[in-house]
Amino acid sequence: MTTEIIDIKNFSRTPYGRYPSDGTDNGETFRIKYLEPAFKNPTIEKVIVKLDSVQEGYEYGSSFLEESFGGLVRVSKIPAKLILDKLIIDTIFKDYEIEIKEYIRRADV
Amino acid sequence: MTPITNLQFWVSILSPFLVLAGWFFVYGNSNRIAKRSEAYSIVTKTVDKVLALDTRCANFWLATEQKENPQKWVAGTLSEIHGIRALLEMLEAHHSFNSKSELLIKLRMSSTLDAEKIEKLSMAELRTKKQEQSLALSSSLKSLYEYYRTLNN
Repeated sequence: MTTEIIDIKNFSRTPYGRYPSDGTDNGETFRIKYLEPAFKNPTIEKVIVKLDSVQEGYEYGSSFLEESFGGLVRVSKIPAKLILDKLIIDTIFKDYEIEIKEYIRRADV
Repeated sequence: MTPITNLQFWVSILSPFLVLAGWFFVYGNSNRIAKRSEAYSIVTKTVDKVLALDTRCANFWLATEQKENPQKWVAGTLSEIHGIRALLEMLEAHHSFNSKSELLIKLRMSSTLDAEKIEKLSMAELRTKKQEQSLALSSSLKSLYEYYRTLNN
């Protein structure tokens, strides 16, 4: 069993929006390229997502967060419990962690 | 030479200590007043920024004429929220404010969630969105006011 580390800077330093129509660094693409393979891989025990390596002073928009993480449940059909068990959000900003987990829970309803 | 009475002896011993105690009290009180004054100032600035955010959201979500480019608007709004974060971090670090995360989540979610698809939303959906944002605003102001009240205790 392994741990997968996903650093947001490898995707974008200014992630924005939900869909490709919103721009290249959108939540759907991040989810499909990085998050989905990690959460669907049964040999990966923990997925650490590092959020703080974006541009200094950058704030995440809620659309990006919801599409990336809420979309794992809504679109990728991964059970919320599995995501919450595997997911470790590495950030000094506690509000992002809380918001992301809220989107995962809401998508499960 | 007159002999020193017991009372005079004790007064001469205690007086300097009483003066010191008085100074410590005044110093401590001045510090408390300065700290409270600083917290008031930060809370006031935060309230101003939150109200400005509300106006910004109203102008975007309820604009009847050509809407601003959503990406630009979201970037500007997140910049405003970053400013609010900086103030709340000061309150948290130095003045025991403990609702920072809750406030930031409410403000960010209500302002920016689905802002990119504003052109596709109906008028009813736009009004609902603005209503959510207003609720987040009033909840934020309530938290800040309740905190403000605790400064007086």
